[in-house]
Amino acid sequence: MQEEARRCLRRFIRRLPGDLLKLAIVLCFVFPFYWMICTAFKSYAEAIRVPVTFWPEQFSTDGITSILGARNVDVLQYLTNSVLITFGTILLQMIILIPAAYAFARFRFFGKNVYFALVLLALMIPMQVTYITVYLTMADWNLLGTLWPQILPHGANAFGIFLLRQGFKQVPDEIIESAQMDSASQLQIILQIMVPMCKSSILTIMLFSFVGTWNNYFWPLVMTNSEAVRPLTMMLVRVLDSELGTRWNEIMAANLLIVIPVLLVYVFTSGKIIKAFTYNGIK
Amino acid sequence: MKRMRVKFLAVSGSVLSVLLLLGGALLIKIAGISDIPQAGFPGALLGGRYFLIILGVVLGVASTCLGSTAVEGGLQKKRYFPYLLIAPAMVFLLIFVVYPILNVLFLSFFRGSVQNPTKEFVGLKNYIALSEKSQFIVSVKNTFFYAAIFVTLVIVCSLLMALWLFDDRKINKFSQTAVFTPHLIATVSCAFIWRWIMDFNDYGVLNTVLSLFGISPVPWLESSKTAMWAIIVMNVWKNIGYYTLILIAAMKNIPAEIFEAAVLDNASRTKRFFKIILPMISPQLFVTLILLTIGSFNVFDSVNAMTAGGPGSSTEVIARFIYLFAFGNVNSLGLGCSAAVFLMSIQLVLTAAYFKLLARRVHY
Repeated sequence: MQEEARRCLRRFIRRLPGDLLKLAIVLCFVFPFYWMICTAFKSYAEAIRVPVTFWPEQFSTDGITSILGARNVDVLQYLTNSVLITFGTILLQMIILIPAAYAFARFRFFGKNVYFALVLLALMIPMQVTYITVYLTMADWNLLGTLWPQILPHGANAFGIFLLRQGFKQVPDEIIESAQMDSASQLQIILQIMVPMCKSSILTIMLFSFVGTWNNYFWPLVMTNSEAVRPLTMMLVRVLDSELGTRWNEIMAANLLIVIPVLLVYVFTSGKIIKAFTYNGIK
Repeated sequence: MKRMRVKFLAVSGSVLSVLLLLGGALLIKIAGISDIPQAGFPGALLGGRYFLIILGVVLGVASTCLGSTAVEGGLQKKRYFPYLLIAPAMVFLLIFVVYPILNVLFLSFFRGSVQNPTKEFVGLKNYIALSEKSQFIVSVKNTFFYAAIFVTLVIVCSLLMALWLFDDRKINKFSQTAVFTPHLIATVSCAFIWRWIMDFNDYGVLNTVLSLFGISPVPWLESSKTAMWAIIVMNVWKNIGYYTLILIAAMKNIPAEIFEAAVLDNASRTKRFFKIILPMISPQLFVTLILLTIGSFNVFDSVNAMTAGGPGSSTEVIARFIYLFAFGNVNSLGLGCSAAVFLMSIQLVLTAAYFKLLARRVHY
């Protein structure tokens, strides 16, 4: 017993320097977020005070209240836009990609490889190249004043098709065949067999879409020309560009609004999200 | 034999129909610009300017029907059903990916603005202007500098981290979670946080911490010497965790017997790394390298939010050049488009080169 304990202790000491270094690195990755929260709860005077305080001496909700109302920024509008855009995009993507993935996974048809190559092409081409034309198209369709330019162009999720095809391929043939014996329609097969069997793949795709759309900054920047249709990421820029100068406690408070939903999702799905991200990286 | 012949016919029909569609699209585009009366050409009866498009669609549908008869296996009864399933996705891809690629190429031969993209045909003048524009050359240089340093740093650091956080221990799991977190946060949010941390005023926390170690304040984002490095640091910080996790997952897939054999043979740690781990994870490393490189050429969010290209033009990048010229300046949409074509070509060439150079060395 004593031997055991001594070995444990020795191992602990041997590992201590490495573990301390690990904690130091973890600190590097966590500190910026801590600093954001810390600043958000300081008053402006304290935020720019020298020497720097690493813990708000006086908890102040100045930044948050001024973001939520005092300043001429309609937070609710940005938040609604963000939510509508994100969920609209996820919904549209699901409607489009589930049938497409099913076709690519389960059917043989003429030209399949060419159509699939098109999907792969979409994976490679960055939006920094396509947005000019998409903007012109949206202008042609008279959609610029609406939320559609931020939803429609992301409708075909090439990555999602690619991923879900992989999932659908792993569903055993026998299950589908027996369903067909019971004269189930194709729609029933998709909705009642394929989708439930690939729940985790679909959830993964939804998580990706959520993070990608919620965090998007480039697309709203180039696709919108009025505050009424802009999401939260654009609000951040507006707070920064305000006439009152750079009030860092307010900027960090606005930042909290963007970060917290994602962090909440992360906390609730922590293990899953990490697994999902790494699993997909390999494929 | 007959099947082969049918297939050949169907494939050549499809290729022809794609060519017809491309030609038809060009015809519509040109007809839209010029004031050439349309009545003369094939005649209004045959669809006028839409003639080639209609012909292409008809030929495409016909060849697909023909080709479908030659596909064996699958659900023969549902011959046309899969096309119905992929139709929505294909329509979206055509409108928002394929057409934009072609259109950006088309527009790069014109001088125009957002209101009137095809004001004047200028041929290759945009490309010539591009090669002479110092702002563009600086952007290209900066982008390559950024890409080279960023990709190297991310690959090296995430490899080291992966080796270090590999074992199944609580502290490693915790570290992985912490290191991964920034990957989920919006680049703008991260950019603003780092901008605040790197603030040059006396209340900038990074300089405050550094002063504890006796380092005098550095104007991170205000000096043209350090600004690009600051952006690189932010992006490395944001992306490292993701690639670390990918590489850890790859290492977990290496069969344990190989390690045991190596330990029995008394192979040193470095030898184990270079002879076992590195070859075994090379497919994932390869994919990582491609994704990282392609992605790094698109860098925009962090630059725009942290420095907006400044100070001077020390952090201008290609994506920002496209943005500024396509939408910002008067009548320079074509110039922006030609820069976009340039960016796209770099990425295509790089991808092809990677596949050629590395695919042979990668162990599958």
